[in-house]
Amino acid sequence: MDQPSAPHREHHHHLHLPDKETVRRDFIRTLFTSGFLVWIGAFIYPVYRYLKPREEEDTTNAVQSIIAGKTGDFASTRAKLVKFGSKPVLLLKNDQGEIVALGATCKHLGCTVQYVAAKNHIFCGCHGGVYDLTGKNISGPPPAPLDKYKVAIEGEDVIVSRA
Amino acid sequence: MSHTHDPNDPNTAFLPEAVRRRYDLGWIIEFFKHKQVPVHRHSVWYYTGGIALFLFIVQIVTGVLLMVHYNPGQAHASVQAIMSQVDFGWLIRSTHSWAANLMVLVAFIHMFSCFFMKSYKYPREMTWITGFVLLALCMAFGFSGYLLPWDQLAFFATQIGVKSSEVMPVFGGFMADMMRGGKELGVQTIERFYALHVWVLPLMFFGVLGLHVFFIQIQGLHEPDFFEKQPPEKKRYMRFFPDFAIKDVYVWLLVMNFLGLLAVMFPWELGEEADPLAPAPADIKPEWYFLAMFQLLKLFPAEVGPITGELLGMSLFGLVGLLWALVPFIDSEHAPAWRSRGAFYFGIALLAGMIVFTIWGYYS
Repeated sequence: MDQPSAPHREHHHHLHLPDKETVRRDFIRTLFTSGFLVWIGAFIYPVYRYLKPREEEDTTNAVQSIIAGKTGDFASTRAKLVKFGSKPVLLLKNDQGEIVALGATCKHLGCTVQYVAAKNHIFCGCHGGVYDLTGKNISGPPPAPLDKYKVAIEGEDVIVSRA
Repeated sequence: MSHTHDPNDPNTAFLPEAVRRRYDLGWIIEFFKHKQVPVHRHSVWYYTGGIALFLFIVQIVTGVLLMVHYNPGQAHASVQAIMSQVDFGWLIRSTHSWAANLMVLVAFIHMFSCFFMKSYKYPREMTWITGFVLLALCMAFGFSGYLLPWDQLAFFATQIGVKSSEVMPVFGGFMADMMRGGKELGVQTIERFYALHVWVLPLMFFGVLGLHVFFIQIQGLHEPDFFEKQPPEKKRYMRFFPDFAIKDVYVWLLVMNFLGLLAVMFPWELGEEADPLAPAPADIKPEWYFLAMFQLLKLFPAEVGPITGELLGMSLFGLVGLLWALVPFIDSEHAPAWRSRGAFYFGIALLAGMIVFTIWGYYS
């Protein structure tokens, strides 16, 4: 670029326009670089699509209610884990003898909680989170109470549905 | 190493200072700078090894991708899902199948080109032998991978392959049982072949490939006789880095495009799910690289004296394979001219035989 100034050229009139060679070289370089990037993209894109999880139908709200068990199930135990769609739900007979249903997914980092009969509370084994029987977080890291579900008794059946 | 670590080595000037101060890498660059590739009328064959390596890399990438959606417990259904439901699954699988076949083909071409240039001779015997092992591993890859989709062809090809190893004396039955995981082919066979295909063979392949490439790096490329005999001023060389390396990359790009074209234009098929109770389809044939052996085996009578035709055939293949692997020691450094010529004719006969029997097998 820094050619010894040629006395007959008066390029400085045209500000700093690059010479033809440079323009051509830049053009070709851009052409090839973008062509190469497109080529790479043609291989990356299918791989990306192949690995991308498929668009699933949202099943979170698909299940509205389930028959979670029989009232007789609680004759010898106070707690029972059932599946509500893809989520675990904890069925509990509380101190008043009512059957309640709580989401069994801990509000801390998503482990599944359990009822501990000896201490009469709900406990998460991962990081020691504790909830009372209403699902309220009372100790440890959980930031929020457990989700609540509705329970209805129809004859013998215990029906659990979304709150 | 006797040299001292010089962070200002001009060879490593392109690296960040933080790296240069810590790691002594200049000697690697220095090494590659001095590496040369002979330039002569047969230089084109030097690319075949690199192409085979590139295809192997394609196999690793597409193979790992297939593992994401493949399930050996539901082999056929999962491959069917890959072909029809997973986005671009057909492309990944077709690329894997095509690259596998091309890799075997290129490995054969690479091997025969090295054979006829007599690259196997002293001091490169071990490069030849590791190359031979790599080809055998390639074929084991092909054989084990062929079963994994669990369609009719895969089932019977594996049945035949395992059965023919059963004729070997002493170890045959044991080997067949170990491959099948029982007396019959089933899901447990798929699981075994899968473990073999995605772990055991790749680990072995990496090790042997590492040796193979290492030997080539420390000994340099072989110069064929006609080139070596030229006076030094007539010999032309090309720098390995960057001149040969950049050409290698161009060839790889071409191969990649060709592969993409094959996979798109001729996607690999998936047959009906294997059914052990269904009769074998007529004219069942193995993959093309087993076709020559398959066709030759058909020519043997059922019984030859006290042994079966299969055993005789398999022993013949074993003997030819052994001779082939040991050719550097037969046509050795100071071997008399007749042995060197003999090796050459042996190679011609083997190549011609393989081509003829493969074509015959294909059309019969």
